[in-house]
Amino acid sequence: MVGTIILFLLPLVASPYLSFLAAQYYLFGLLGISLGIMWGYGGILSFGQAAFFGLGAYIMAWSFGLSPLPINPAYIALMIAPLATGLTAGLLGLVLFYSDVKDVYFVIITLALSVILEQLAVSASDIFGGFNGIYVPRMALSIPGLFSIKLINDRLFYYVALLAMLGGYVVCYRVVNSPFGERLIAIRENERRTKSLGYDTAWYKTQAFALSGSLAGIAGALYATLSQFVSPPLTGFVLSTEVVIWVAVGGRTLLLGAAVGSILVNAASTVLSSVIASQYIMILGILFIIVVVAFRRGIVGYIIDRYDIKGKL
Amino acid sequence: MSTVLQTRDLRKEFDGVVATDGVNYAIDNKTLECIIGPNGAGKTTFFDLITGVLTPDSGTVEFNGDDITGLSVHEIARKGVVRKYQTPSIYNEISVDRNIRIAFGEDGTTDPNRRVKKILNRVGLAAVDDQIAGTLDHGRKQWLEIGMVLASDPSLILLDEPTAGMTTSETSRTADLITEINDKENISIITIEHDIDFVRQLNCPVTVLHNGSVLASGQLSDIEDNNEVQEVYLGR
Repeated sequence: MVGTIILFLLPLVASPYLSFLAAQYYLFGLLGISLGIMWGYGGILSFGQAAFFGLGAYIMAWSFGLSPLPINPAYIALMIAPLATGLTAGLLGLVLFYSDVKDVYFVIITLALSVILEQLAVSASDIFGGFNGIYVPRMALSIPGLFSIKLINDRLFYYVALLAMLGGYVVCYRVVNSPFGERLIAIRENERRTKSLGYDTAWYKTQAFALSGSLAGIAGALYATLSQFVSPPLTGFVLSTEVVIWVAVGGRTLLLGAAVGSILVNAASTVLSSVIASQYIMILGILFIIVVVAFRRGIVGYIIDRYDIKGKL
Repeated sequence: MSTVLQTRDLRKEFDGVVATDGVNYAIDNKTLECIIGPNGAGKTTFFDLITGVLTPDSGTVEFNGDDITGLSVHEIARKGVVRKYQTPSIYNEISVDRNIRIAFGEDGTTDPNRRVKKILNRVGLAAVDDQIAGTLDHGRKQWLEIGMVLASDPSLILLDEPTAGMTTSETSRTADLITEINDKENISIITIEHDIDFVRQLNCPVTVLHNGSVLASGQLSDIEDNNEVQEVYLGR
């Protein structure tokens, strides 16, 4: 609670650039949460989260290209992006989970999805802008007839990103604490048993994946208009892998771990890359290994276990 | 008495090995039966075929007169055929009572708290209801899984070697538990077993599987006198 208040007051003291960075981290935090609910609760590792993130980003970019619309194009993108990414994830899940694909193949197939989309974005340059990417304007917050503010100010965007992440967190928190969430945990713990108790586990996994995909899509859509640029790597293999690292570092069995891990690792990358540009990826890699070996439940999981504060979250 | 489960000419082959070879088997409502047989006789495969884990190459499975062949695992479970696996198959990281709660299934149950208590009393785990299931000893894990099967409100329970790895006293308690469930809850139970003393204690009709087909069936005393059975199974 205190933490949330601090987050809301931060832009008052932070520079616009820092607000911009923080906004990016929150959107990555939302991307981390989208993986956390699948991996931490359903026990299903998706290596293709960037595919949904990137698709959401391109949808935001395309929305500004539509001929003048009577409504705010960003609003349309923010509705279409989660629908499209959720549907993609849902359909993929339907096919894969009902054919009883093994977890390891799910990893490979989602990874392939990410790679395919990245290649498509590179080659279909008339749609995706190829390597050069697409410029995206900042979105506006508007209520027709009342007001319209273009979010040029990074401090304003900070709040949009923060609210998006907190919103995603609250939605996922409610989901994992519902009967649905309990069944996801049951599937993670023992899918065979859960099936044999009459649960259609493939359907639960499909729904979780659809939710995960749509959250990643929203994060991507907002990221596009925040960074004002989309390009193929946003959908790609590298980002997909990085999300897994963020969530593992923070602690995948807790939504908070997924969010905090994403923010921390990205902040660390920014700091390290400005101090020691050449070796920072290696240092991050070593940090990752240390965390995974020493704290099986991630940094957040470790702190919660150590100080026994689970009940207070 | 009506037949609850009936298999007809059930057959399953794996790469040339016939694991189930034309099994015709029937069990009546509210009865308790044992299936015995040497290793590789096809006992677990038989359960896999009934519960939808495997699809038979040919033959049918009927439950309460409905053909359930080819239905998926969760559909068959929802119809009321619920199985306990050979190795304890529970949710290790959550508490005993939550294990039971999840087992109530999608539709839940009226007054879940009371039912959790009732089931934990039945399987003798009431004192450890808030313990994390993975920390239970082996015997209690087996009982917890039986409790979960019970919570799912089945009309036929399939137990795959429920006493595997148990001490003698645990085995004997399990036998009491199984007869009690069969008696008081009016549920049909088929149990696969290796331990002849346990089978004797259950005092129920026995079917002997050998090389994927039914070699003999009847009361244990008759089975023990059967020359063929002695040869392949009892090794006398």
